Amino acid sequence: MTIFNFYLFNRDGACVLYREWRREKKAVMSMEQELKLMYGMLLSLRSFALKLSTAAGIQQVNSFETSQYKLNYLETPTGLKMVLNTDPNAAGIPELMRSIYQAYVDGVIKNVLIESNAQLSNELFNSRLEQLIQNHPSF
Amino acid sequence: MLIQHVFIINRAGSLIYDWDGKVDSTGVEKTFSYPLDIVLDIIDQKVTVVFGERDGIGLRYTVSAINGIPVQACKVIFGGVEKMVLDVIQEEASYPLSIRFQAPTITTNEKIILSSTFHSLYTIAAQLSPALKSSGIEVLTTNHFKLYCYQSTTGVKFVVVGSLSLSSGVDGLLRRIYELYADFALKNPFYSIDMPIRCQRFDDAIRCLIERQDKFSMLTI
Repeated sequence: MTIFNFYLFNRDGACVLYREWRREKKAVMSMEQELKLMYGMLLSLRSFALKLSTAAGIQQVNSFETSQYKLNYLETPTGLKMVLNTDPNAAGIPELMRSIYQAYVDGVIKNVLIESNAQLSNELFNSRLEQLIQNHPSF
Repeated sequence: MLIQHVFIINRAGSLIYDWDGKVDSTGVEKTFSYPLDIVLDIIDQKVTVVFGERDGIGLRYTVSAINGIPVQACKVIFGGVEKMVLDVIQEEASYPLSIRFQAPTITTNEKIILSSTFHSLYTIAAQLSPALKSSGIEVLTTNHFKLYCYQSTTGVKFVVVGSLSLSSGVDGLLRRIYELYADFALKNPFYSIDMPIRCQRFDDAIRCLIERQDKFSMLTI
């Protein structure tokens, strides 16, 4: 049971925060290209799920699993997108992601000095994020 | 039914077989007065609800008939003249209007596009893996369905889309579909590899398998 890494995208698709804890496989491409590829995959997943479902209403991709990892996804109505890659057997991740979002609201949204589309360098949010992740039983 | 769709996707990402469960989607018909409080727009050549859910009419529902006259790709015969549906809806003189809405459906072309999209997503998910030696997407969970995928060692993908309550026995089902594919498609001397499968006995075998799976799932729930 482990947590590999975390991505935070704003509504424009720019990655405002990337954190890595126990990533085993380094990307073969540059970090900038990986972030673009990840965001493109998320957009495609969303439109794929929208078209595949015949149920009315809003489609929300929750997660997908592969043989080695599970990608957990949270998208807020304001367009903020969070990706947390974990072990497939990790439990309690949706609640953890909501806690991260709450920390984001407290540390970033309520800080009037932060430009909303800029790279996140807020020390309060970063330390809170580290604390949430490392205290989680799946870490 | 628990299982909504079955797709078989070849190594290049083309859809070579698809099966649909029975969808009991009823339309919704209502009489409206001016101005219409549901916002409609044209998406993929269909007049689609983009805002304003009520009375069983949800987002992504499409207009299928106006005053009982079927809509053909955004146009309708109204007052003896063919008009754009959006123009008819914006005229006050047209009201009161009886409009029938239909739940979203998936056409064959959309299935082909979705299969190619999934082929790419599968590969990218393996590429972006933080863990070593990861496969592509095996289970995709949304708030309305679950998608299960099994890729054989030869690269053919078997995809099952089911409801959220479908959770047990899907691995066995996918491997069983793979067996049927090997029996009815690969052993058919007239079948060309990677071409669409058109075999009535394969259809029958898939249907029996899924019906048995449904009964089994009902017992275990």
